[in-house]
Amino acid sequence: MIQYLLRRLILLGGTILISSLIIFLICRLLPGDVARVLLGREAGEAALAALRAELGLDRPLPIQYLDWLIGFVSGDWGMAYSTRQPIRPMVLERLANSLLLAGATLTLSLPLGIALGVWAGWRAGKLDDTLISVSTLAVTGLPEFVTGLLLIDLFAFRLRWLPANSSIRPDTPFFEILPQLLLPAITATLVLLAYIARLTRAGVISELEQEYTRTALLKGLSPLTMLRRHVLRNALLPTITVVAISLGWLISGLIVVENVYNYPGIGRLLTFAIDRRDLLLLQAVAMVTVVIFAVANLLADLMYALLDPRIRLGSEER
Amino acid sequence: MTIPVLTVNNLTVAYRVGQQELAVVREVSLAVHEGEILGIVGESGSGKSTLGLAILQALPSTGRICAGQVFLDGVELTGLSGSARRALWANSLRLVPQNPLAALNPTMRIGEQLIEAIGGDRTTATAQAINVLKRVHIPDPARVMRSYPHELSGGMQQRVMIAMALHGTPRLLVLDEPTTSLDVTTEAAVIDLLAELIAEKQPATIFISHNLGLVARLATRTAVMYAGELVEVAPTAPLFDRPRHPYTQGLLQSLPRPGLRYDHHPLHPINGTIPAPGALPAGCVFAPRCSLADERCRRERPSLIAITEHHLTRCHYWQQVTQGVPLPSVAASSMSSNGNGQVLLTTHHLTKTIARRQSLFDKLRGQPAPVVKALAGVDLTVHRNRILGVVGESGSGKTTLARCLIGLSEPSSGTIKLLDIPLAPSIQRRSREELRRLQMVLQNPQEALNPALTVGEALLRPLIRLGRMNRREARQRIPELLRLVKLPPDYIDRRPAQLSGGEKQRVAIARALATMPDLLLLDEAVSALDVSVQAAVLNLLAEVKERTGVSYLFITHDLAVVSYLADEVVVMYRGQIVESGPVQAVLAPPLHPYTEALLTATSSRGVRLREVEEPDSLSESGCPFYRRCPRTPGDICATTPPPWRDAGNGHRIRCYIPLEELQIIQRSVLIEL
Repeated sequence: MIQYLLRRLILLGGTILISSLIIFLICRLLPGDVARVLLGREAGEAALAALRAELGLDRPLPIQYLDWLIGFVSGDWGMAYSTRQPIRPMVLERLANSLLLAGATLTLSLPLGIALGVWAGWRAGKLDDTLISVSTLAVTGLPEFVTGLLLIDLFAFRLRWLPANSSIRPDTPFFEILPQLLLPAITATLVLLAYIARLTRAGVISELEQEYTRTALLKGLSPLTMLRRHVLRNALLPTITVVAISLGWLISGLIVVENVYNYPGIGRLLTFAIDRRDLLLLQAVAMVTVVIFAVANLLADLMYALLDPRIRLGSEER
Repeated sequence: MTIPVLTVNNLTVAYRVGQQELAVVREVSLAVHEGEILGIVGESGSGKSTLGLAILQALPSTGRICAGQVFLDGVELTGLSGSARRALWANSLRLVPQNPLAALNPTMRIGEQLIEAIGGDRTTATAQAINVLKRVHIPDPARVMRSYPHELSGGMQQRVMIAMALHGTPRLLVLDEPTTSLDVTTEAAVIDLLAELIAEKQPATIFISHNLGLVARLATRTAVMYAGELVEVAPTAPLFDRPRHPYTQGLLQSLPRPGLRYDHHPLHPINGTIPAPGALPAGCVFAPRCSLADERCRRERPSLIAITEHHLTRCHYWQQVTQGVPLPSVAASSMSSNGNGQVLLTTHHLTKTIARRQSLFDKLRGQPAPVVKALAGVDLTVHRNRILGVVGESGSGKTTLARCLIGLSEPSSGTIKLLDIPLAPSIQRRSREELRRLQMVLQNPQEALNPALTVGEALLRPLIRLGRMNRREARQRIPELLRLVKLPPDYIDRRPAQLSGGEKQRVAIARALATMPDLLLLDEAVSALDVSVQAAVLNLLAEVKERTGVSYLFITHDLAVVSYLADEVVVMYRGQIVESGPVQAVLAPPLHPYTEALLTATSSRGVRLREVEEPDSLSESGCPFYRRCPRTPGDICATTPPPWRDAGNGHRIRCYIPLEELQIIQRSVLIEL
């Protein structure tokens, strides 16, 4: 186990290293000259060259890459060109916000999605199964800006239960953050819900067909005991992987939701960086996303191994 | 007599397929008394497993009992409420399924699953679980309780299932092909155990199997099922000695029996295939395949009539089903082995080691990687137009050997020579001519045929690629190939989904024969087929060999098939050949203790092997068979590999026990049988 962990950690480092190279190269290959963006169309060649030298953009690419990478690893992420502020606190603050939103979304979508999926799988082919499948799919089919605006219209403007704007700040007290989190989290939940429910439903249906479920049935167990002890545990294993993948998406892919609610997450920082051609900021945001993705996947694999005894990590197979 | 424990009355079971319901069990009536074992035999698709599940009230959700009743001790089961049925399941109705690994929850420890089955107070249940594991002869119950299903061998898994089925006082036990997924020697031990426990606990037992030999051994009465109907029911001995239904007779005549040989006695397969549910003939269900059938059979469905007090048959002309099993007709055969004696293929000290995963620390310390020896020095010779049988249980290296010969895996050392010319180890580096000369047929034709290609397209490829034909020549050759494997010419446009299992295997054989190979490797090529179909394919193989002069390397775990089809045989155990020679010399009587155990596994008084867990950790030095050997081996067996001994006529054996002594032991065994 420890060996496996070691090997996976080395692999994780490799993945992140290769990603960093790709991120760096893509950022440098983006059209547009940073110096020109910063100084404007009328700037002379001399001024542009001076700025490039100041930013270190005139050095050879390998040197720039190494310089950035070493800085990144040692915690010096540099200054953002656009805002002239240190990048690290900016990104970390946004990351914390994004994690908060992701956590809220998972707290809502996981129990709800699993419950709906189990019910639909247990009653497969019946009316309630069809209702659950169709309605969750229909909701997922709506784009986030549509569901987001509908929710704002309903809960913020008509019922006045929740605020329409979620632009929280570091100094916002927690009990005020909570209502502001709710609408964006619900919007993201609606996207994830059908996915989780359908996966759980498929898992439950396939487990119900397994021979060991028949063995359990023939032990004379009550339906609830059978479901809890024999069906759910195995049916929910694939859900772990889904949660890991959604975590990455929830951190960096909620650009639309963040924009609808004006939520200061990492997605909006990403669009901001692209908009301003702020290469260093862009690189930092991309790197943070990569790390989150990789770590989430590793955690999912470890969880999977913990719950399924057939997977014995790192030890030889029989 | 007493009142039966189980009474089944006119039971009809149907599955929902799309919009329609197809009856797969029709109007079955039977009764089983306390302690009685009723065997149910039939080929795949006969509805025997469905009948078993219907009796247990455990049909899958698509299945439904349409008519009839099931009574257990006078209580009707079909109309029971959920809780009453659960109570019966918990206490009285039990099942031992075919595949124990699938029937055990993979993420739960054995102990938990057993305790759950026993129910009640946890401490008592735990003690009871350990007792019942001891009762099924599991050597280390405490360890097994802590294990997960996949950590146990197949035989141990099935013992756990048996423990689960026979704790407490079961009233009805359904055994659904309980040993089909096990090796023959393990099967023998498990059947012994079942017989012992049934005798002790006296449940009414239904033993479902396609294996006539096992049913003959275990069942007191036997019911033969065909296309969802019982066609014959009788006490086991009279049924096998004097069948009164053409289907029963057909099944028995399909079996390769001792004394029959491929070059003298063609088997008598049943023509045609079992009708699909929903496409049943109007009259007798067996009429389309029956040689006795006439107009009346095709019009009028026979009912199950009692011809004696205990013997029932569903045939209009049961009096004409006279001869049980025809005596082997020693017809003077025209079959001779041409090119006899010429050596076709040899292997010299072939080994294949498979590296196991090594820990990082061991790798850093420079330790050699642990290996499994799949083949440990195999020498064999295949002669032209002869059949070499390779027998052994799973893990003996049979399939690895075939894969090395065909070039799908590269041997670690040793040479393979075809006509005295060394073959490249990997298939990529073999010439087209070499590929043409060696072909292979796999066990499962379902997986070996590309479902998207028609039969014609599947046959075209090897003809063009290896037969050096152009498209037109190849097309002309295809009808000839279909004739060779006895398929109608219009099958050329069919796809695998439109063929039965036996027909698919014929196509696979035709494809392998397309290149006119010198040697055909047949890896369990008839093992997945029903007996009647298997007989037809065996006949086909014998005939093709005679007509084309091809040689076979015939890999199987089935000794009856090998004694029927092979000229020479090698017996493999854990990657080594332990005995080899002409098939009659090796099998009658067997000398090596392992061969003896294989051969007597089907007999209730046969030799049983010791079951050892994880024989991988075996020290590499001594005899590979040492730890399971039923004869008391000496210390030398554990330390030094036994030498080859010559028993004459090319019969060789690797064992320390002197030949004379083995011969004496064997003779006494044979007399007992």
